[in-house]
Parts: sequence; C-alpha cells; structure tokens
Amino acid sequence: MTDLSDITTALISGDGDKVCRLVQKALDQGAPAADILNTGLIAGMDIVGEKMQSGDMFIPEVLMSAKTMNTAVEILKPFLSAEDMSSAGHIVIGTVKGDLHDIGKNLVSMMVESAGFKVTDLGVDVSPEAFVKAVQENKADIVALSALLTTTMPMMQQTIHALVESGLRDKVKIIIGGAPVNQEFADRIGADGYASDAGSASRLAKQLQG
Amino acid sequence: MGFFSYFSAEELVRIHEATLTTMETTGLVFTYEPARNLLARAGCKIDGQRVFFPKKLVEEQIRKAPSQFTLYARNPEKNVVVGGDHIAFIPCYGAPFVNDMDKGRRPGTLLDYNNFVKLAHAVPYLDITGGMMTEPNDIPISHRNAERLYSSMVLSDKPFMGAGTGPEDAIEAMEMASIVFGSREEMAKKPPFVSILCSLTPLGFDDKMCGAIMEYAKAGMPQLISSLTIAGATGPVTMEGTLIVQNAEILAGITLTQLVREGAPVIFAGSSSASAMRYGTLSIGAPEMAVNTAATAQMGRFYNLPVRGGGALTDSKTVDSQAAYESMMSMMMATLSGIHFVLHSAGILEGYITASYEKFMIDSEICGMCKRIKRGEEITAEKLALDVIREVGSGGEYLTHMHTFKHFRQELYAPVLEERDNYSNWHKKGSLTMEQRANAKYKELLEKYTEPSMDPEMRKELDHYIKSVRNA
Repeated sequence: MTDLSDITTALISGDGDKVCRLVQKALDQGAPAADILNTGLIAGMDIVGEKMQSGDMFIPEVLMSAKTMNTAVEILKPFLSAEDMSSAGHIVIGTVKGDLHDIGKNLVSMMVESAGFKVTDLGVDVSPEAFVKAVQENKADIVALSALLTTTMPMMQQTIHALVESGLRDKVKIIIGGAPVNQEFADRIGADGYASDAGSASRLAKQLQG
Repeated sequence: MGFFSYFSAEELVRIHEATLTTMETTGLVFTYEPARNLLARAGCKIDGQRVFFPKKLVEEQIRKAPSQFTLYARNPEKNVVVGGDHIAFIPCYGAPFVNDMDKGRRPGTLLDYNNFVKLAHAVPYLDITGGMMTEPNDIPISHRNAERLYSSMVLSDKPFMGAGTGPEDAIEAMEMASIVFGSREEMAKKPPFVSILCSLTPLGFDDKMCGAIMEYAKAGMPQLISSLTIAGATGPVTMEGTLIVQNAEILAGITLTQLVREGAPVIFAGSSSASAMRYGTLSIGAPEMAVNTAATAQMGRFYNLPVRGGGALTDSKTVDSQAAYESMMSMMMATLSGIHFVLHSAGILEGYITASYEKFMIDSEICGMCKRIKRGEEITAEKLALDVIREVGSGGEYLTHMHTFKHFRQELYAPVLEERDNYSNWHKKGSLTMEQRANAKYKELLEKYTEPSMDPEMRKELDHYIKSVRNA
C-alpha cells in the first residue's frame, strides 16, 4: 500500500510529478479517494499553512504546494462522492472596477482553492453589478474584493453598497485585500474581514465559514 | 565625481541586446488603440493588443530623446537641470497614509499634502516639490488633481510634478499650469513640471497611462517613463531578468513618446526591486533595490538619457534604524551610480504606503549629505593646500588658520538634525532622539513658512479656476 504520508511529504516539497504519481498509485492499490484527499493532501496543506506562518516556507514554495494540491484533486475528482467533494464554500473573487492589478488576487484564488473552496474568478476591472450577478448566480458564501490603487479603494465601498441594494448583503460574507487597504478601512466600509496576504486570506475564509 | 559602475561595457551590450530581443519576439501589450495604431504605422507588428518592436525602430527612436532638459521654476533661481552631472531630489509620491509622532498613522488629507508642499519648499536639498506626497483622501477624487496642482503652484516657487493618473488629468495639469507659465508652446520650451507615468508590469501599458503619455509627449512636456518590476513576482526572480523586463517597458514607452513628438523630453525611470518572499509582496528596502538602482543608472547612461532611480526607501513601519539604513542605502547608491532624478527622496515608510513627517525631515538630512558627496572635490592648488600644510607643519592646528576660516562653510556639510555634541550637553538639551528632533524641526519649518509671492492677476485666475472645480 502507498503510505499516504509520502503524498503529504511530496506535497509539502511541491513535487507535482511525484504527488500525481503517488495519488494514482494509491488509487490503483484501492485506497479510498476520500482518504487520499483528507489524510494525504489536506493534511499536507495544513502543514504548509503552519510552515508559512512560522516563516519556514516562502510564498513560491507555498504556491507550488497549492498548485500541486489542485492538480491532485483533479485526479481524485472522478472517484469522490458528492459528499466527499462538499467544498468549504463558494468564493466569488475579483479586482474592483477601474483597477487592472491581478497578481495578489490570483494568489488568493490559488490559496483558497487549495484550502477546499470553490472559486469563481471574475478577473479585473469588475463592476459592482457584475459582482452582484456572480454572487447571485453562484449562491456564493464569500465575495472577495481586491484593489491596489488608492483611487479604486472607494469602488470597494460602492461594490458593497450594490450588494446591500440587491438584498444579498446578509447572504454573503465580504472580504477585502490589497496594498492600500487595511482592517480599519474594512470596518469603515462594512466588510466582514480583511487579510493582508494570500495565506491569511485563506485562514480568514475558513474562519468565516467555520 | 566619477560614477560607480555595476556592469562591464560588454555586459551592458548583452543586456541591451536581450531587451531588444524581448521587445521584438515577446512584445508588449498596449490596450490603448491610438498607441497601437501609431506603433503599427512606425513598423511594429501587431497581434491583437500585443505589439512587437523592430530592434532598429527602438534604437532609432530612443536616440531622439534629449540627454538632458531643464525644469523652469516660477523663481528662476530654482530651475532644475535634469541630466548631466546633476542630481535632483524629489519627495515621496503616492502615499495613501501619513504619520507623525503626535497623531500617529492616518489617511492623508489635503492639509497634509499642503504641509508637505511647504516642507519641500523650505528644505533646500529638495529640488522639486513633488506632486502627490500623500493622497488627499478627504476631498472627492474628481477634485484631487486640480487641488494638488493648485497647492503646488501657489505654495512654492520650485518646479513641481504634474498629473500621473490619466489623460484628462494630464490635460487639466497643462491647462492650469498655463495660467502661470504661459501657452502650451511656451511651456514646451520652458517646462515647469514633470510627470510620472508607469507601465503595467510585466510587459504592458494600460489605457490611462498610455493616454497620458501621449498627451504629454504631444505637448512636449517632460515625463518619467517608469517601470517597477518586482523580481520573483512580476519579473524573473533574478535581478538580471528583472532588468530586462524593466528595460523593455521603459524603452517601449520612450519609443512611443518619440513617435508622438520627436525630441519630447523623457526620463528613463526604473524602480524595480525584490519580492519579500515570506509574503509575496514588494520590498523596497531590499539590497536588490540598490542593485537595480545602480543597473538603471548605467542603462540610462548607455542610452544617453536622464535617469530616475533610488530614493529614501524602506519597508519599515516606523522611523527606526531599519528605516534609516535602508533609506541611506538607496540614496547613497543613487548618488554614487549617477542617477539624475530621485523620486521618493523624503518621507516614505512601509514600502510607499505612508508619508512620515519626521522621516521627511530625516531624509532631508540624507539628501543634504548625498548632495555634498555628489558635489565632488577639485584637485586645485587652493584645495590641496600644500602651503597651509607646510605652514602648520607637525603638531600645529588648523582651527585658527585663515584657510579653514575661508573654506569651512563650503567644504564641510553642516548637519541640521544630526547630534554631534557631547553626552552631557545632549543630556542637558533633553536627551532628544533623532525622531523627536525631526518632529520639532518639521513644526518649526511649518511655523516659519512664508508663501512665495505670485503675480496677483495670475493668482486671481488660478483662484477662479480652483473655485470652479470646487463648485462643480
């Protein structure tokens, strides 16, 4: 039998080829997909999260693990039941209107996806109306707003306002991030949370869903 | 003063060749259609929004940009030459927050912006007052450009920085400036302000920046074509690779300006730095920032263009030793490597996020020290002082010598804030830290500030303009 802890170790070291090989092997040997997911992969990402916080792992390593995780989950998907697949929640994410910066937002997407969330990424320059529509259509649990420019910060508030107007505000948690924003700004515009980087965004999302 | 060179001549050529290859084969995305059309007419290949630059075109066009230009101040004594042997210091730009010892960290306001104009006006080592020392968060976005320009023109008679936000703001900046500085044609001959426009790294320009670049170029107004590539995030993790991305963006922007108007003044501007890999964010206090500053200076010299880089840059959250040593590292490198235009020379904390009043003063001291280094020494008989050395001989002293009396004020930098007194005197004066002295100093400068006079007719017209903006 494949030792699932080998999968965990390979995931932490970001070795995508090895993880895929081991996951396939474990499946071939009859290991339940849900075990591989929970004991092998999710346990690995938990350790990655801890190591990132303690400063033992750096962002490129964390992202490589997250990318590996997402690829491995694709292999497992056909073998997972609906119940096994029950995601941590659905997140709609985008950079607000007027702002074209997407690197931070993409990192957050990757991190929350590897933490088990389903992600709908709306891209950049997303209007308040497009956020409202996506939240509605996806029955999103969380909407994540990104901005890098001081001049587009007010667009976060307008997006929240549009969610209030559409009657969706109570059905969805709103989190924000980006270089110029902070907790105080989040409080002021009535967001539910602020995270300063991709790792803490993932923790924040789990916490809000918890 | 000689220049510190980071690369050899052969290495520079390899970097240049690699840059041109990137521009020709990978290309850059220009979302702005008028820019694409102009570049296509000049011979660039276009695929969707991606523009591929022929090597020859780039080399031809960048040669057309002037190697130096002058910014003409309201007070001619304060004109600033950008290029050659000169170094110009310009304060912080774009900080959404301000900080001081008394009130702590808070969103910047128009009052803060005005205070920074006054401080930049008062500090002799700052050559240009800047254009966005802090974001005036307390007024509507639609008023901010006009208010910033109004303050810059009224509260100081130094050259200033114009709108770096988009084509409409660029047009407004030129309109307002022409109230004081004459027609568009006159301003093209004697530009009173310079603006900073940035690439959308990696390898792109967005509509707003591109629109403003073309407006300024059309008017012959000077601008920085600036790239901030983050090694490991928006560029390769190597500083060599990041330099290629930065270089390609700057050269693409400059090529565009020269196609719009041959000879339009530009500054080759690179402020790339490293990622803080624990967080995946930009670090501006990194030693790699100093590396890029030196590399940028050398590339600018290679292209015979005025060049921007460095600054009093730090990632520190407060005015502490990290803030001091990181700031001096970049300022020193800018000075030694031959940078001409040093944006963010005063006030920056937290990687561009905050403008600190105390750090503004401390950095001003750094500017003074760097200007002293930059000034250089002359090997002349008077300066070598052989006669004086012979006269004093062994065991004498120079403090009472006429040579000392005559020259010390010019020769030795006189610090404004530095504490050089002995311990007991320092203790008697209240054991003040640098930050406390800086706090007192900025307040003193604001208190002593007097507004430079302006022609009443011009002032009336400017007031009329700003009132119409406020009432709109």
